[in-house]
Amino acid sequence: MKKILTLFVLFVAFNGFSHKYYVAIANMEYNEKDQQIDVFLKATAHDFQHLMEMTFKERMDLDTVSQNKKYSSFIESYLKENFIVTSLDQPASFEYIGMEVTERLNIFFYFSFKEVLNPKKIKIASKFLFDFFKDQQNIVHYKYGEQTKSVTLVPALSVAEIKFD
Amino acid sequence: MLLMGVSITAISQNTNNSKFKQLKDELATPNVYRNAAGAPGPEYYQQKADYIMKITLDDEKQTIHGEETITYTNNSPDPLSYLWLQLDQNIRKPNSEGQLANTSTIEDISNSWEMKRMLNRAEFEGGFNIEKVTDAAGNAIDYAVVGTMMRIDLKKDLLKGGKYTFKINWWYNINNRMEIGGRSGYEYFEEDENYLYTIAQFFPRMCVYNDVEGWQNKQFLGSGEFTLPFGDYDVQITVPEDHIVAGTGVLQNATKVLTKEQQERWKKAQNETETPIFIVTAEEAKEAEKTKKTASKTWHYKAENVRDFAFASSRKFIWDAMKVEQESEDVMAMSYYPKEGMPLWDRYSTRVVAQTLKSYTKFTFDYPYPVAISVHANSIGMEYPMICFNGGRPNADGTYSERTKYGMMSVIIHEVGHNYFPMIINSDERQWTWMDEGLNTFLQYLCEQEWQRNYPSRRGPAHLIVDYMKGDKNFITPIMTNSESIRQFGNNAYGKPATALNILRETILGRDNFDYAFKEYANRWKFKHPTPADFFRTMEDASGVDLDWFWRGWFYTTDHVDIGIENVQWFQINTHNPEVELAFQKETDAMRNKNISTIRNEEEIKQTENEKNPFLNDKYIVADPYQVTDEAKQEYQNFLDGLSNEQKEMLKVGYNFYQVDFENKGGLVMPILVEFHFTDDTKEMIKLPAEIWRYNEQKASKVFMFEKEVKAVALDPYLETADCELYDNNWPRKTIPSRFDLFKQNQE
Repeated sequence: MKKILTLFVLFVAFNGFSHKYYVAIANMEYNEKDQQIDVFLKATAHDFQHLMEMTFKERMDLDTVSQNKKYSSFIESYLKENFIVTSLDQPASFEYIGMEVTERLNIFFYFSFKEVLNPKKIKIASKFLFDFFKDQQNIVHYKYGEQTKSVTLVPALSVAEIKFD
Repeated sequence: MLLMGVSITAISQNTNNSKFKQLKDELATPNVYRNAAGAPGPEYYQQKADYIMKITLDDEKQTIHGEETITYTNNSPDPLSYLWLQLDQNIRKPNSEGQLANTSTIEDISNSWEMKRMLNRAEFEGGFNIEKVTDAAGNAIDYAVVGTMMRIDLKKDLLKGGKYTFKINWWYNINNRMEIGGRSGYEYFEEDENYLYTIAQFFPRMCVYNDVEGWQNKQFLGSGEFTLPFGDYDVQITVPEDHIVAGTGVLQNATKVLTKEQQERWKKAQNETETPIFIVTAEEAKEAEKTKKTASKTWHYKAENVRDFAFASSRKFIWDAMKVEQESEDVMAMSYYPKEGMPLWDRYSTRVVAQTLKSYTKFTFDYPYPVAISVHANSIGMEYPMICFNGGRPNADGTYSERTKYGMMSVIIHEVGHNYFPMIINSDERQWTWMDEGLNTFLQYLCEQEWQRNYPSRRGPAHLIVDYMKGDKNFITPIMTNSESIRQFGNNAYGKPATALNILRETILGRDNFDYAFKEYANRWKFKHPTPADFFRTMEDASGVDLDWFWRGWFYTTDHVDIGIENVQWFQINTHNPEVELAFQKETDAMRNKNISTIRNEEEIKQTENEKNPFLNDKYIVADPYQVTDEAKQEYQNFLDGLSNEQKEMLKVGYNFYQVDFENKGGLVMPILVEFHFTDDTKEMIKLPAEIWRYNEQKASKVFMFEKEVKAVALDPYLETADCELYDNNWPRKTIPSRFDLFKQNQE
């Protein structure tokens, strides 16, 4: 069977500045008290705006998207699907907390992972923005106790393990 | 013997990979062209390329045609048997090396936007069509196109001091920037069916030939921008009659291309320093959008001592301008934008251009060109001499977010700032992106802070680079990496060098010393071609500070900064005074944990043998071990009598000594900035130079002496060094709430 790819004509122009690098940074920290991993993920706001506009095919104002149910539930499920933490082959449960856009043109997402079976040995799979920017790199810092380890995920290698002794 | 042993260890470490090893191996040997101080040497030379061009922009077919006469002057001591030119547009030829050298996977085009971009790119017939190459007399000459470059074969060597004039006729299809990208091209406005052209890297341009590279021979793959020799330009641009043209240089025929009224406004703008004056108003631009005239008009521009020429043309342009006064010549700050740029562009652009010139001038030299232009082109930021193309577009209803505003202002400051680096201080972008992007981003930060207090600068302050620098080292390259091989372009070539310079200024050299040296570099290499070594050497030579360790750590490695306080120990001088010491003994004994046997024995052993029989107690067994005896008092007196007055004074002050153990976990050696908080709530900052790490790069201990008592020690409390882990920067340890905690708190 032949599959047919349909292309739609864009009626939105890519708004924002083109730039030559695509980096998102996730800062993860194990929260001993609540037994969960807390994450804040920083990305360039207009990269994410691009994703939203390409998805919904309309102009988007990031400052107000979180007030719109359709958009915010999309964001939540997008993050849930594209940022996955597993431990002992068991996916940790994703809990979305919120997002904010800053004047420095950054967007921050906040979420937690609960039920992490062994927080000292986790696998992180992130395809955040990979579908949109082939040069996208996702840096992940994971702090456990006083130690921090870092990995960088790229489209060719979007899963990495972090292990503490 | 012992001393000798120590020094041998130090030397053997130094020949290997000490972080303090001098940069003799990395930097080229100084010579007559570039001296050891980092300045141009006595035989420094540079080539010159002058252009006379007639350009025609075809608004019907979106093509551009040029007749170009180049006069090339060989100032080098070398005879040249061929000349090389840049054909940057050839990157858009189907299957150019620039396209083939980029990897791709099917996922890359799995969204329609990328797919469309790829198809458009593949279909687009871009690149130069070279029609004719002739000598001054009109005879055809031999040439060869090699990718994005073109070689002219000379019949006779061009000797030192010689000039060679030749002509090239060419044309190419202009790319739709919004669909297939590009630093130049056009944007089409569907609503009024008009085009806005931003035209650059558009004519065959002479390559640089110099003492460092010979002929610049790096093909254009897309990231490493360019460098060109300086020269004079005489350019006539023919466009539809109702277009407005902005270009590098000074307009020669205003009387022919502007209305009487517009000429009057232009005169007025030349005396206005506060409020930009409209030369072409929004009403006039809206009118022109409708006329769509087919007759043509020629705009004549001249520019002197520039390394390139670019222009913008559209019937949509609104144009405003005002004067910026300088000690030397005054400058016209100007902006060109379509109505879609309002109300942001009319309010900010020209004013931001003016501020950029004022700020940059302070750290370098007076802006040496007559105009500085900011043109609004959506989704981009790209610089050329005197003119740049900048994004930042409000929503269709005229509203705009704070992000759009700051993005627009930052990009204007950045691109106008590029006039200094690399347009005037003409470094080779195709080799070293950081030399212009890094230095420029640093000055951009200083300028932003002068524009508005606490301006949300994205790059410059040390703490903003931390996330990048502590990342996985497999995905990071040193700053000293060729432009085409850099990973994480923005952080590597913009953010990190800008941060490094800010740290040099704030922490290592201090503002005055840094500013002196930086200004010296700018002035030495103004209208010349500097290399990284010239920058490193000048900064050391003019500041009087050896910075090899700093360049090595920040520019040649991917190490990050992570210094921690591992331990703090408190000592006081033994006063020998039994009253003081016994009390102290009592206090510390009380703090000591008793072991489990002692605790149990206190209960369980009701009476010991000597408690039963006091006869067993001699003088060493006393009821109160902390009691001050006459004997002890006498001993103290004897001790005092043996002291000099100086020693007595020291005892009286009662100094506190603190041994602080530091650990360098990140690898990058940096000064240790340590602040002591005393029990009387005062503070004292002490800066230990980076050289404290020169014998041991991992651990360093230092004893500090105070009259006051310390209650806390803080490392780098003002976030000066880009320290990646802050939890170990305090003694006693302090919990620092993360961004996550703060956000969650605010939500609750």
